[in-house]
Amino acid sequence: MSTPTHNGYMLIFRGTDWYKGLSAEEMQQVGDKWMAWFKGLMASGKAVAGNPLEREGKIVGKNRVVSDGPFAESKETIGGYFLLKVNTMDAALTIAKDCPGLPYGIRVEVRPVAGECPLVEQLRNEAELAQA
Amino acid sequence: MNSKNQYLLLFTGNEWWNQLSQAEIQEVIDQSKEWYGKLAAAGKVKASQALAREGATISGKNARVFSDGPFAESKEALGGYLLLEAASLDEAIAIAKGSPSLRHGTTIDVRPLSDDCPLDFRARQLGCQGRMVEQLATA
Repeated sequence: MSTPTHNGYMLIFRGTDWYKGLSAEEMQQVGDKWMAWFKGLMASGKAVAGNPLEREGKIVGKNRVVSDGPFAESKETIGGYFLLKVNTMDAALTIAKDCPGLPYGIRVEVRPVAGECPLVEQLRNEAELAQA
Repeated sequence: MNSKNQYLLLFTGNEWWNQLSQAEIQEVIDQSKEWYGKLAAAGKVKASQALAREGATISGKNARVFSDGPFAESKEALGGYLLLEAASLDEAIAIAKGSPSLRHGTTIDVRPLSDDCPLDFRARQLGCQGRMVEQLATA
């Protein structure tokens, strides 16, 4: 997990129900803090992209069946993401800990971006095993 | 940040490729390359990355770190994303339906990017409701 990577990290913000109990002023405050946080990260080059997602969407599953979702208010639903250009998990975690939504119940998933497609990696592993 | 006509495809699944033979994996890779290649050539792809199957989750006031994460082989986890440029949600769904990963059990969430922070939107809604109440009261 602490292996340095040049591919960066993705912060995934989970939870779309956490701000329902807040007043307009509180929401404005958290929103302002969040924007300042993101702009600071962009300005320093630590973040290279980020976006909130619309609440509605669709899910395509097995047999190409399309269903509604995600459901409007949920702890699991992804509400947005940042892409970070930092080289270690520790640096990504340090940034994630500053998320202004944490005190309100949002969860931040921190994931290293993979260098290659996992299918290609699996194929190479199997080929290596076959040779061994 | 202009996010008009941008859709994020989120690929969720377990590591189904562990169950496939080399030939089967090669087949999915070839099909995926063809699918992705056509999208890229048509200018539909803005960005695309796979995520490593490890990581951590942070939550709570004290920013506690849970590093075991939901990334065990058998569990469903976000495996990667593809940022699309598409004319409509319907086009984005049609594109998602072409993904070769679907028949192996991957689920694809199709989510429009937002221009607006949902907090701003909600604050505006509440502010607006407040004004409407005021207006009704003074009418």
